[in-house]
Amino acid sequence: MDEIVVIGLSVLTSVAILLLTSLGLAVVFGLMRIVNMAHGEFLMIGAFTTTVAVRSLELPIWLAILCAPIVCGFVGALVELAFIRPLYGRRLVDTLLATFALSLILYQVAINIFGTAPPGIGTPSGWIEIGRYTVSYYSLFLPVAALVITALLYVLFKFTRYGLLARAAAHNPDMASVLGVEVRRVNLVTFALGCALAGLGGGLLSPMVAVSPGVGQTYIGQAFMTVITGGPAFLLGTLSASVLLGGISNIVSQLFTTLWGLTALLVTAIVLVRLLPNGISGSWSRQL
Amino acid sequence: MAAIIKQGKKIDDAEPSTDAPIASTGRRHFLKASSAVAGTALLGGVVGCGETAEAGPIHVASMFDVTGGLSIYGEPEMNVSRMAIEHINESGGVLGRQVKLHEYDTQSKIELYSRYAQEISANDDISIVVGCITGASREAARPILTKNNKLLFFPSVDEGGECDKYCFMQGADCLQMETPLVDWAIKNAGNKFYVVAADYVYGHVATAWTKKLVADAGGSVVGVEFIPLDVSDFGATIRRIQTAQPTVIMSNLVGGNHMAFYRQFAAAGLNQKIRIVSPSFGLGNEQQVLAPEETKGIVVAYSYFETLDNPENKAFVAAYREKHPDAGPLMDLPAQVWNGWYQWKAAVEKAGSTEIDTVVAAMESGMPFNGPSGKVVMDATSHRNIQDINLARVNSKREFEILDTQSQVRPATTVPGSESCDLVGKDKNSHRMILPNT
Repeated sequence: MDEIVVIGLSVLTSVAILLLTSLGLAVVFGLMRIVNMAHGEFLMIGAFTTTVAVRSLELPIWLAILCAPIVCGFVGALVELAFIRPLYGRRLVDTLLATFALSLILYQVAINIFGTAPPGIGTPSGWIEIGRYTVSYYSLFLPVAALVITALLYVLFKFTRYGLLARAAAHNPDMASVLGVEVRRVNLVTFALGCALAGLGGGLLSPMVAVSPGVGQTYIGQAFMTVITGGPAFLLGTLSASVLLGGISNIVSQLFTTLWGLTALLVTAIVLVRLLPNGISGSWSRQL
Repeated sequence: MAAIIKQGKKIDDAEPSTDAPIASTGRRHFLKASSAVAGTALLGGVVGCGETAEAGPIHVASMFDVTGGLSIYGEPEMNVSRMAIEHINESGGVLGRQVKLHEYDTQSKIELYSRYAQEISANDDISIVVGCITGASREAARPILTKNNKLLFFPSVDEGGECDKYCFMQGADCLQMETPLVDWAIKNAGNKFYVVAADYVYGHVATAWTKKLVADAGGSVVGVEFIPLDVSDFGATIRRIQTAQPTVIMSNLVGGNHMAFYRQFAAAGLNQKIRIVSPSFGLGNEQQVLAPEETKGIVVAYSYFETLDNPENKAFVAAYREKHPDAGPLMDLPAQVWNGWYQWKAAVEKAGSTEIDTVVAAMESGMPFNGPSGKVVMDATSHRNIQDINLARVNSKREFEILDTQSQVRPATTVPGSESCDLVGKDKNSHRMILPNT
């Protein structure tokens, strides 16, 4: 019994990690159709922001995690102005190249600033006992955080004026422009929001993984897979894909080995994209 | 003159500041020597080309990943390589000749190991390479170098299995490091082992050794798990460990992603009741990246630690810190580079020349060298060093505290479940790698 509970909690944590590392990409790639190859580096910037805030500024960890989206949102806004703005409406491969270059630059800058083995921060302490097992509080906190963030995003895009304009500007910029939406400004805010979400994801993960300049590159492949299998409903689609991919991967890891878990994630993604070329949400009527 | 070789695009061109002293002393020495030869030649009336070439510097090379993902290991190794050659030159060189180091930055790319090995092989002046970091990079360079009669000294900790007459290993192998770890664990933490290992050749061979050593010592292995290098979510592994209830974890994990294991292990409170021992923890400065409360108590075994208390090490650390005041802790690999150069120097001086077979014979004669890690003696059968192995525990200040020293531990001459190697007997003409049967 205790074993099943622990496996269930571990599945929730895996789903949360996948969701937190994908949400930023869901907004930037899922909604805006910008292939952001530097997504992993925004996760990395978020993780470093949290680490530095805890170690150098001695902020409490919760406050430090909240610094991550602010810094990443700011960096994201600068990136949008410098790299992305000239490329709207061009081919996908243009943004791919530009952001890939950006990813290489940010990675090397991180190495130059932090070195290859920078000191990190520990997981906030405490664990709960379930029968023979112990589970860390923080791994229980992650699913809650992921769910709250997704809910807030849903409210933002569904019920606020900005959310409506953001979707309009992404889906049909010409028409939105004709109707008086200042598309450039809305896109700037949306891109920065996507980067801030990536930063928040990185910040939340930083006490669980070893933060190094390469930390984001572990997640970018899975993030793209999640958003693509999620399909056009960029929020709930990504949520469903995270549950499916993260869940299957963790359960297979639990039953067999971690290698099979990783394999199961890739196989599931391939089969899904083959059977549902438009993603899980391809046939849904909702757009979020 | 023959001594001035073509430079290509090696990094020693790009860094004249560090290299210049060696090169210029070398050239001065060479000028003096050649004018002396010219003088005798005038007297004798014959110009001996061979003699002038003999008087020039001895050319040697190092290949390390100074840039890219492995620079964490490669940069200190190249720094120590350069420092060792400078020290050798300051104390009179080798056979009275200066030594000229050619530095190759392999940029963490395996293909550059093959390319630079070809380049070195085509260069008649270079007789030896001290270099390579991973087993994969060594296997890219080794066959090319040794086929072309170049010596290769490999200074990394590794899984063993090299069986090559022209290749010598300075780093400790799995047998040397895991024997004291298993013994310590059984004495101090219990005999139920759970093995977590990186899913590539090192992890598999290391795990084969762990199983054998634990069985020999009367313990049991209650679980083994191989983790792909790009995994950093260890939820399932940690659940499985709790189900198996071991008393000791043997960690053969490697690389940045795997550091998360120690963190998530501690976050679930497991470090309170289960000991971790590891022959790989610390090489990537894991104790710096992770928080002290997560790593405190992990026990490792290496030949070298910066805190070793012997005069050779004190001098070595002082010289290194003077040149590189901001560098991180000195780990095993750079110290083995130092050992490699000095063992080569002793062998060349004993042989009286750099001719490869006489140098190999001198190496195999087993001359002891007292280096930063204590006494090392080359074992002729395996071409690996017999050396002291130190057990150390991570303390709460991110440092290693020496627990125990096992002196003069012998290296392995077999790969578990596979073949053996005898480089002075049946394998005296071998240039091969023994692969594990896993």
